[in-house]
Amino acid sequence: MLRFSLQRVASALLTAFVVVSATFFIVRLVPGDPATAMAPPNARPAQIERVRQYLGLDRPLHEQYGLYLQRVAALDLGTSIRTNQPVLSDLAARVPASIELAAAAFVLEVLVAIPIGILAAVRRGSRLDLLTRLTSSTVVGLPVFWVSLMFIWIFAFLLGLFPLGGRLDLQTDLDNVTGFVLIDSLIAGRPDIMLEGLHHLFLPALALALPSIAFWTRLMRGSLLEVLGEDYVRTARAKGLKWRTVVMRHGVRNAMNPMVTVFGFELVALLTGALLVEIVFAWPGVGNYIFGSLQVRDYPVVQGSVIIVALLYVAVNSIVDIAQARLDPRVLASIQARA
Amino acid sequence: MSSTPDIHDPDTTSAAVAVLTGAGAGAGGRRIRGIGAIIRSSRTIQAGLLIVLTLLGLGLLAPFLTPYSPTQIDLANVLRPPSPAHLVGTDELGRDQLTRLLYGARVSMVMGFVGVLIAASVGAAIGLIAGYFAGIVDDAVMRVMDAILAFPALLLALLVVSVVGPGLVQVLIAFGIAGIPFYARLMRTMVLSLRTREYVAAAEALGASPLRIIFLHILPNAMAPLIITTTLAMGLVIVGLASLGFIGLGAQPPTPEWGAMLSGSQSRFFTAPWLLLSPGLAIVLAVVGYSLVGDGLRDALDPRLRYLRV
Repeated sequence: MLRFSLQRVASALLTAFVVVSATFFIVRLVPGDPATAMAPPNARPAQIERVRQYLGLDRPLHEQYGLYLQRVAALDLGTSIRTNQPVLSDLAARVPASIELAAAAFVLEVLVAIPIGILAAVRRGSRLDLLTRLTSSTVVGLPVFWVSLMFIWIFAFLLGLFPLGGRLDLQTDLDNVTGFVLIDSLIAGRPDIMLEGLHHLFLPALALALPSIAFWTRLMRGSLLEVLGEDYVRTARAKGLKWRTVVMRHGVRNAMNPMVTVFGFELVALLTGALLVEIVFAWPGVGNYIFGSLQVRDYPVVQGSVIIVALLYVAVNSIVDIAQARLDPRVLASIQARA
Repeated sequence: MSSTPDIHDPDTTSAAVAVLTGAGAGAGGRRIRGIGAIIRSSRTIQAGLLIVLTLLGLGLLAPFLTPYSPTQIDLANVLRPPSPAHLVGTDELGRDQLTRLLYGARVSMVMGFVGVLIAASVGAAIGLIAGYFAGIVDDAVMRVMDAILAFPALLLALLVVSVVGPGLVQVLIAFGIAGIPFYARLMRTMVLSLRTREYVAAAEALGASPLRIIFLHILPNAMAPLIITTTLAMGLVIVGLASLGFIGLGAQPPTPEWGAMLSGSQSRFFTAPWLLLSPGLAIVLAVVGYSLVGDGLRDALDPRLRYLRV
């Protein structure tokens, strides 16, 4: 197990290096000139040349690459042209809002998808099952940004049930300690602000969670059905265990294995999805930061954020791999057999 | 879905077997008949094809179906609600919304197809080579594929836009690149298992060149999963391109692209909800069409997956 974990970490570090390098080469090799792209549309050649020098693009490629690696290793992702702050600290200030949104979506997914998936599998062929399958196959392909727009239109504008956007009402004053509204309101001892935060959080979180809820429901249903066909389930039934106990203890527990694999991908899906949801709901997280930077051609920010998200993905993937090998001895055995 | 073809139906079964195994000498005719049989036997595929072909047809025939121009600004008719003259109303520049939706079908359907085609052809080629030649080539190529896999398509598109500036073509290229590893992995796995078959060994013994073996003996046998994946990916790419159009990175105004159209009318809940509803419904329809075809094909072509799913 330890050996496998070390191997996995080593391989992740190698991938991380390739990812960082790939970012560099994609940016340099894609036909087009970053200096021209970043300068205002009517910039004079001399001005573009100044941008080029500022970005270090006038140096030889291998020198640029070396400098770039040094800076990334020192976690220096450059300076935002718009805010004149280091990209990393700008990102750090906005990450809590995005994590709060993604975590809320994740909780909704688990609370909704797993029970429905179990029910659909246990009552296979029932009307509930059919309904679940039909809705999920439509919902899974819905564009997240459009769902967000529709939610605002229907639930916030037409029905007036939810606020139109943002994390809190504009006049609400809350000390920023952790950056998480739900935690900060707790620290400040203001349950009313916490409720207000939840009220703002619900709609964007649901919009973000919807496609995944559909996907997870299908996955949970399929996985549980497969497990329920196993010999040990029949044995458990033959022993005289209650059907409920068999489903929960023998069925669901084993059916969760493939779900763990999806958790890793889910994080990325939530991160990129959050980008779109944040824009529609005026949610002040990483997505909105990147969006704002794109509009003023603040490209160091965009590239820095992309590197961070990609590295996060690599890290999460290896953690999921290790967790899975730890949870399910069969996975570890099959990896060792292959090696 | 409810219309899943019955495995006991001899027509479906033989058709699936024909496609899965029907490569090799003289099987070309049988394979084509096989696909026809599959389409005839699956209502899911028929429904999906109907949607996809209708959208494509509407897009291609757009100039004959509408008297309006998709880009001509008409300030006398700004934000008109739906009426006999403008069935889906007009947008903030007075352009007929239905006309823009029709021309938008052209952009989305064609671009979705092109994006997937780039990913599938390059990815499949890489996977074929990596799988067939194995060893160092395989290791190196798959490591690069893993790295690309760490970039969700949206991030890759952001990266490309940060160099070249926004536009449909660059975003399409980003989506193409992001899709490559999926096909490369799929193909590599197929090749690794097909390589050990007797007929490949026989062809090698007869002195066939690697190219001949790859194209005549391995590729045709690996087509079924490739076709299924490609169809299912089409919907994803359409949504992806629309998302990028929506945040202003993809198609630029005045191009009538569904996502970009939504972006222009984002704040029109109050004045013109039809501008928000219609492009979204068009995207959903396209996605549902492709996923019906993909699901149907998967049910028919890959009996193993079917049992897992039910």
